[in-house]
Formats: sequence, structure tokens, C-alpha cells
Amino acid sequence: MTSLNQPFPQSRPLPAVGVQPRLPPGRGPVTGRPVVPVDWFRRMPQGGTVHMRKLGADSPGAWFVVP
Amino acid sequence: MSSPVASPHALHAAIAPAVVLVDERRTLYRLAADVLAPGTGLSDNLLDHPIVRYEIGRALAGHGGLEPALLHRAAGLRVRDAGVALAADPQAADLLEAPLRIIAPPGTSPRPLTEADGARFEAVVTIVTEGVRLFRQLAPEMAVDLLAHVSMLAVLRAETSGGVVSASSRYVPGIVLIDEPSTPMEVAEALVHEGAHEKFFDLAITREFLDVYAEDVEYFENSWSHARWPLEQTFAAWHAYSCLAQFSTVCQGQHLGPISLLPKARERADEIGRWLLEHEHDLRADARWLLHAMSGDGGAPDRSGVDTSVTSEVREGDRFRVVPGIRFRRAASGRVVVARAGQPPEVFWLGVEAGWLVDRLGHDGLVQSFDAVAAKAAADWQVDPSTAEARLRIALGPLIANLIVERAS
Repeated sequence: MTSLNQPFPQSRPLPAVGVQPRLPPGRGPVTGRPVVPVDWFRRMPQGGTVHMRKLGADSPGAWFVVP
Repeated sequence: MSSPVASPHALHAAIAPAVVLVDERRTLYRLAADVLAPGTGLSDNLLDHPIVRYEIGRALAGHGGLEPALLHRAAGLRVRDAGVALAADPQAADLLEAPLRIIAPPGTSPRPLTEADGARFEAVVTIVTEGVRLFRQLAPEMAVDLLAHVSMLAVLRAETSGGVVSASSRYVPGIVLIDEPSTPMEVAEALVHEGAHEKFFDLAITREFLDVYAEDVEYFENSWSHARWPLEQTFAAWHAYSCLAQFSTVCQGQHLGPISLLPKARERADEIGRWLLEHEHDLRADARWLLHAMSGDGGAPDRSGVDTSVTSEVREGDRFRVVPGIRFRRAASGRVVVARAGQPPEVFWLGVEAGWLVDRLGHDGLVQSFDAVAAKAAADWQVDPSTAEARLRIALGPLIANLIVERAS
């Protein structure tokens, strides 16, 4: 049985690019933006993650009240 | 779309192990509390509390201030250890008013089961305990990865749940609400589903996933209910379905109820993932990387796309300091998060060199010359002086533009 903790049998190696190893300052390529604003708390989207019995799926939350 | 290249937990860990992510989340909330209510001094345990995070989140969104008394009242919520902290307090309906209101379908008032329900609650404790154990048994590493982000579980009385099977909210991160379960497998699936959302919430506030423009872009319409979702919800749904699809591979032989999403999860994850790949330009770097890596298309983009031509012009003798009023904290990972008081406060994560520089300049308005800082950087980083200066200039430009660091006369 495939273990959840192992790659799928048909897996390929993880791409070499992407998330960089955590390097100390001054080492390796310059990665990521020097200053990243956290916008998460400013956005107040409608919609949420309510799994409803009637729809059987994540539902768009018309009822998802912005506090 | 081909099959995933690796399990979600391995890809999550490539961004940051759960323990690192949780520490960085705590660091952000602790900094926010420093700015909103100086001297509050919240413990890690309190910082993990969903209601504490709700109150801090409200203040960061500009919806009022932070009342320390509210936080300590929330902390009094009694829980039962069921493998996760299960809300048990007879006052839970009052203390958890916010998440119960937020996830309630129209015309309903979900109420939590508590110790006041006696044997009925004890039966639920047993099922939840078994459900957590089952999750850990079937998918031990996924359980560690996702449950690290679930601080509390509340079970809704079946006659009040209004059709909610399971729910979580970006506004009250850390709490999962589920309908009164019949089987441990229902609990296990709900923890995968909602735990994936909780993981995403923590990724979204500590890494580069979505920006302020996420609300303005095209909506996704799914084929199975024709619901239309904004980008954030689309990404969250794709992430949850991807985790559920992976979990389904170890659930052979388990009895699944008629509303289980496990049999549909792979197909739905692929459908949403195809749409996201067509709209990946609307995602930030870490979200794009996770999308490609989990989709297994071999096209995970390089995140090192920093425009190094935007550097700060530094003249001989220039001196710098952290702008007065700026507060910052360093996470155990070394990453630095910065906050500026205001209505609402502003929060920023810094890159490694920018974080080093702000940490070096310090809180107290200490003025330091660029030459002295660069010399220290070259020594600390064990690089030649010209490399240190070049990297500091790359960091200084955005730090100055965002009013975190300023020139001192």
C-alpha cells in the first residue's frame, strides 16, 4: 500500500528550483523580496470554508459574515 | 495534470516545517499585541488560542483596538484532551460566539456540545479521540503537519448545525468546527479538510501567497455545484482537496459516509489546479511554487526573481536608523517581522539581509553609518566588503520605501 508519507510510485524528484534552502544573511542568491507586506488582515473577502451537507462541497459563503 | 510529485506534508516542509511556521505565526501575533496593547505579554499557549487570534486579527484589520481582558476571558475556556483540544466548557457557546456566528448558515444558530450535555458529550469525546488516533495511524506525518495548526476543535449539536459538516474561518484561525460525528472516520476526514485550511491560513500570514490584489481578480466556477469562488477561496479549496486526495490513498478499507469528499478529492483538486495554473500570475511566489510542486508538472518557478537593480543610493557618510515607532521581533528561524503602529497597524516580513539590518540598527533609534554596518555585515556574513555593501543596498531600498528605515541627519 502506498504510504502517505512517501512519494507516489510514479513520482518524480522534487523540482530543484523553488523554495530555497534557508541560508544565513549574505549567502547564496538574493531570494524573496526584502520587505513583504502582510495584507491578509486587510482583505475581507466574502466566502469561506464551510463544508455543507446539502452541497457536499466547500461552499461559497454567502453567509460568511465579515466580523 | 499528472499526479503529485510528493506528499503535501513534504512540500509544506520544503517551505517551512510546521514547527517553524507556528513559531513565526506566534512571533507575528506577539508583535501585533506589543503594538496594539503594549505590555500584554501573551504566552505561546494564549497566542495559539483562536479567540485571541480573532481579536488581534480584528485589530489588525482596523476593527477597533485590543482589549487584554477579552483575551484572558477567552483563555478561561475549558477544553478536554481528545488528541486535540476539544471545547468542553459549558460557557463555550458564549466564548466561541464569533466562530459560531461566522460559520452559521442563514437562519441557524449552531451550538457546541459541552460537558453540560453529559453522556452525549462523553460519547463525542470518545469518537473524536478515536478519530484523531485514526488520522495519526493512517497518515502519521500528515497528521503532525496539519494538526500543528489546529488549536481547538468544537463539536456542534446535530440539531443546531444547519447542514454544516465541518468549517473553519480565516477570521478565527486555529479552531475547527464539526457536526456531531457518528464515526471516527468522519472526524479524521474533517481534520484533514479543515487542518489543510488552517495550514493555509498560517502560510498566508508568514509567507508569500496572496497579496492585496487577490480580491480583484477573476473568480473560479466549479463544475460540480457551479459555485463561484474568489482567488483566495479557490486556492484554499485546491489545497484542501489536494490534502484530501492524498489522504484518500491510505483509506482503502475504511467505511466512508455518503457525504465524504475523499472519493471526489483528486478529480476536484485537478480541476481547480488546472484553473489556478492558468491564473498563476495572480498568486505570489510561494503559492505558485506549491501549486506547481503539488501538481507535479515539473514547472515549479524559481523564487529568486528579486529585482536587484532597485538598490538604495548610498553616499559616503550616510547614516541610518530604524524609523521611530517601528517595532520588530525575530522568530526562532531568524526571520524578522516588523510592525508600524497606526489605524490599522501595518505588518511586514523581512528578507534575511533586511532582517539582519533592522536587527543590527535596533529599536532605540540608534544611528549607524552605512560603512560601519557594512563592515559588520562583511564580518558576520563572511563575505567580502563589496558583496556585503551590494546586498545591504538591495535591502535598504525597500526598507526606506516602506518607512521602516530612514536616513539620519
